[in-house]
Amino acid sequence: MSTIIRTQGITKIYGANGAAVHALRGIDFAVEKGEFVALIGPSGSGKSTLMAILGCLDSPSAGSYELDGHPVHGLSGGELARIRNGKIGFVFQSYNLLPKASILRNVELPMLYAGLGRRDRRDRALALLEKVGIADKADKLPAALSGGQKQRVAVARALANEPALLLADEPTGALDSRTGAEVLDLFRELHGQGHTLLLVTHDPSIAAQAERRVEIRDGLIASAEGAA
Amino acid sequence: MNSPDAILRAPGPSLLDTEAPAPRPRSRGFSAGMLWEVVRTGLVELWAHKLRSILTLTLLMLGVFALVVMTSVLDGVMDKVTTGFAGMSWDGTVRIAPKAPETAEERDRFAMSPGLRYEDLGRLTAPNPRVLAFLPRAQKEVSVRVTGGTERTWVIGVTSEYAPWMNRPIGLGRGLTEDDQRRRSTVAVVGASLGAKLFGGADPVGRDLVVEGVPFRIVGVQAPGQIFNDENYYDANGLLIPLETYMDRMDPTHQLTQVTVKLRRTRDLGEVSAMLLGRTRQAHHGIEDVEIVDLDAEAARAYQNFLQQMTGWRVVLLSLAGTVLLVGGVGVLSVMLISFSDRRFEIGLRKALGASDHEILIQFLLEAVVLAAIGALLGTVTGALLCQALSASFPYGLVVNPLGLLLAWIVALALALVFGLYPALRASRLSPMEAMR
Repeated sequence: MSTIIRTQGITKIYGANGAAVHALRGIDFAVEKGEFVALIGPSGSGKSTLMAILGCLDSPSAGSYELDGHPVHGLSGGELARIRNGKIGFVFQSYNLLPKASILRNVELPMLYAGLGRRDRRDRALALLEKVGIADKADKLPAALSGGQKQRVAVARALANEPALLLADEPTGALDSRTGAEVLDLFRELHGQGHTLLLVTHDPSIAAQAERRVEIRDGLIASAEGAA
Repeated sequence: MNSPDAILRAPGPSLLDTEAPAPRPRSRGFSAGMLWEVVRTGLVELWAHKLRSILTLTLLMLGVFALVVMTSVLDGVMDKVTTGFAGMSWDGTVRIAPKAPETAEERDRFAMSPGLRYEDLGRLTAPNPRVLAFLPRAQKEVSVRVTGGTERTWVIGVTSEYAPWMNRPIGLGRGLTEDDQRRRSTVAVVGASLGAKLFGGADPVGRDLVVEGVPFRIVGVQAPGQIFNDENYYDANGLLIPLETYMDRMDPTHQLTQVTVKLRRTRDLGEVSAMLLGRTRQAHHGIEDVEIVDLDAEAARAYQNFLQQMTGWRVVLLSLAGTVLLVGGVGVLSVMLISFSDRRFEIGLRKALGASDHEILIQFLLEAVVLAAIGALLGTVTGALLCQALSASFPYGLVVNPLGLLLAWIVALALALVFGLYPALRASRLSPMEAMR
């Protein structure tokens, strides 16, 4: 089985000298292909920092990180952008859709930066929207959608470039429990289809939906349970 | 490959193969799709913030408008004045005219001379190989009676050669002829302005009018032309009659206002002047009470003067338009800076989804250019409309100067690029983490 995420001794220090904050103190962590892993921890535990590093939005102060077999360390901004574009699908707590662009164009966005042609983008975005069950909203603006629908759009967008890894940061945090459960069902469905998912949450009941849980506390992996 | 089931299936082994990363369709440069996306986003942003867009657009528009109209009008004025200078027909021309006495002694001496008279012409205009034509002219202010009223105007006695040599084409009817002179006919060619004043839109040819009790028949009307000196003005607002008729019926003292002399070659000027002065002195009992004016040089001097003034105006107007454009450029800067801070989140998101620094930079630069281009387009359209409206007052119409237009666009777009660069750089250097926090 191939490994999607492998980190060794990742640390992250904010600030300098006296005022330095050690957000991560040496994370050794791995996610295999096809796993559904929950990264759990209270706020301030460093899980968001880790998530940003795993998402190539930030770089570690020290340590190594391999994504889908490729070392990420020392890559240029442009190369990181290409990795984010092609290897990672983000799902954020607050959906993060472009408010002035239609649902369809929101889903097309990662494909635009991947250089896909107009027709291909459109066809694929429509197919993705159909799969997450909101193809009829394709021409609407995000404001016309409910929270659950917006999160479905965000999932469709995350899948646009067939990423190796889906990174979901508190994806149900802004949803009521029923729609939250629906979104989690969607994640489980994706997991069942072979996608690799990493879900970041502070909520143990949500983490319980995952195949495996990794707890992070004070910048260190505190415990890991479930199949490794 | 795009059936929904296929799409949601996990990526195939090629994507996970560590040795050979999946080939990606990403194009190196900036694709057409990206360009449209950026222009579209730019337009959406402009529309979303109409007030600040309009304020900036207005300045850019005014700048381009000013440049377009200004260069076009200056061209039109150049055309008009150049036509006018040609219309004066002062090339290779000297004029002999009575000299005003400057001292009491001169006044007394000039009084002994009969002055420049019709009688001088026999001697003065004897054929000379260096001279193409002698064009005498006599003029006085009179009142003219027509059915319907009277009008103050000028009656001008000239020979049949006058109109062709001085470039006063006939619009309607015929010009004066040698026959008219010989028979001392009471016929008149009216100036275009006088004809319109006396008869409104009606055809003046064949109508009668009475000048100082003498009835005249109108045989022709001068074509309308540019008025650039007194002579032009009198001709357009007066009556041309045969010189002999003038002497007989209008002025018993036979005084001439001037004699215009067309030279074969401009460089003969000195000799011809001396010849003319000599001939008049003989006729005037040795008194030199006339002077020679080199109209060619006069016209050249005036034209030079005009060109200098035009250059001055060009500098003034260009600076004004440039200043307005510069302010417009600062407007672009502030709009793009506001846009940058408003859209930090969007920038971060785009980066998270795979936009490179380079792509964000180009997006912001292009948005600034789109802003400037819209302003320039509006300025071009309004400028062209104004030029069209002003067109009637210029001899060859008022065509939008393509160079001015090009200059305006280049300046507007260059300013957009220069002033858009700083916000675009800031946007491109934003870290996605910071932007989305």
